Amino acid sequence: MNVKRYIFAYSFVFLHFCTKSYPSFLFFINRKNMKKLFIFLGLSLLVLIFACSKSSTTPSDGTSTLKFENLVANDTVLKVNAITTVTANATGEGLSYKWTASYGTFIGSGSKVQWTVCHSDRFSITCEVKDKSNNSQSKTIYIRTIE
Amino acid sequence: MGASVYVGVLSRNTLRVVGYYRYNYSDTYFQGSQKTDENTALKYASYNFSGIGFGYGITKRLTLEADFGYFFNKTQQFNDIISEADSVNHGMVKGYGLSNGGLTVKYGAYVKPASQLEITLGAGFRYPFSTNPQMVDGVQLNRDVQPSTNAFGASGMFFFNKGFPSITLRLFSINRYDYNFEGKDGYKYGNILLNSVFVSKKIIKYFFGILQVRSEWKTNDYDYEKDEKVVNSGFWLWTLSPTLSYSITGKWNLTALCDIPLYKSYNGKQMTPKYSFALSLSRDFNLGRKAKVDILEK
Repeated sequence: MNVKRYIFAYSFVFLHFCTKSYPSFLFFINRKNMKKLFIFLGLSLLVLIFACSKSSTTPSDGTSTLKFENLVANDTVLKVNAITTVTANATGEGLSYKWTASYGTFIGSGSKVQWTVCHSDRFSITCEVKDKSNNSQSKTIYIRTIE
Repeated sequence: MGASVYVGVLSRNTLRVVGYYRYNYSDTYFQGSQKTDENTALKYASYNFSGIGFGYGITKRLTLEADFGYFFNKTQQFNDIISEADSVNHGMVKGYGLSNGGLTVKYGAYVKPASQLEITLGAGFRYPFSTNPQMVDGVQLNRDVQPSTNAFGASGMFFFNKGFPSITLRLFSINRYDYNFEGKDGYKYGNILLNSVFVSKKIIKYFFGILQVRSEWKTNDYDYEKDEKVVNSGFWLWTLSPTLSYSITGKWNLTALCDIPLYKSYNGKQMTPKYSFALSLSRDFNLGRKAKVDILEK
């Protein structure tokens, strides 16, 4: 995200200098209107920059209580639109669970969720477990769905 | 802009603000161009969406537009089998939040006010407010209820407008190609080609009736992690949109429309739109004239 943010910022700065040095660079905009144009674009850019989220992680304090034993699904081969239960077996203090999948829908939350998908393919399901000290471990399983 | 029917460029120093709302409901699966109810996951899907757009006439030929929108909800209700397995939400999945924002530059390539003929070209890009998919209670929502594509996009546009003042009729066309870039998760939403033709006719004073026929063609989504097309994605949809527009003292403009699907052809098996309606309210502000009056008053 940061790279994209800098590319946009540099593009506007570059455009600004080009038009200052060579007013005909943008043949359809005269110098009188440039101020309005940059105010408009500047405001839009600010919205873009500040709206983009930044992911952050808190460093671990080294006192891990987390043990993520396994991630298991009741079915590793599943009919399209059927549901299966996926369970994350982990121990530790103050655990939280984050579920992501390449496709499909989760039902429920916590250490045990259900999952379904509407077409046949091979899908990954990942669970990331965090303890209260922000230590995290993740595991991925694959489920194949058939028509 | 959203539910609006605006084409072409704005007059110099004119600011246009458009607010709009759209509701969409879907409850029918299609496989190709045929209805199907064989092994389907959803009972229905719907969304409530609202957006705001700004346009500003930089010169008489150049207009800049910016817009963004918000999904109050993007909802899917799953079938009874799945709903019974979900003791908490009873098979209902909901996403909400900001959709993508957009910036567009329009250039009036051929503007002849005397003959009421205008050809406008446009280019724009769309940006996500977040590149991460939405999570609710630690669970990633499925793509169909995500409020944003979480990826950038670019657009090319072509607008045509021809007025026939003697019979208070206007013919205009919006043509747009949206290219979606790959998101950071390796998923690329399909590209969309939109072509629409409008006929607008003054009914009585301040009221205009508009009939729109729209074609939307979307290519398959692509999963770069698997290096394969997503089967249940992409479509060709024809829609008829009867629209009523009311001009309030020539400044405010209230527009109401509904979308009625005429023809659907969907890749794989997909939930398809049943109906949709939208409302938009717009207002033009002539900033140039106001500025001159201010100077004179001083």
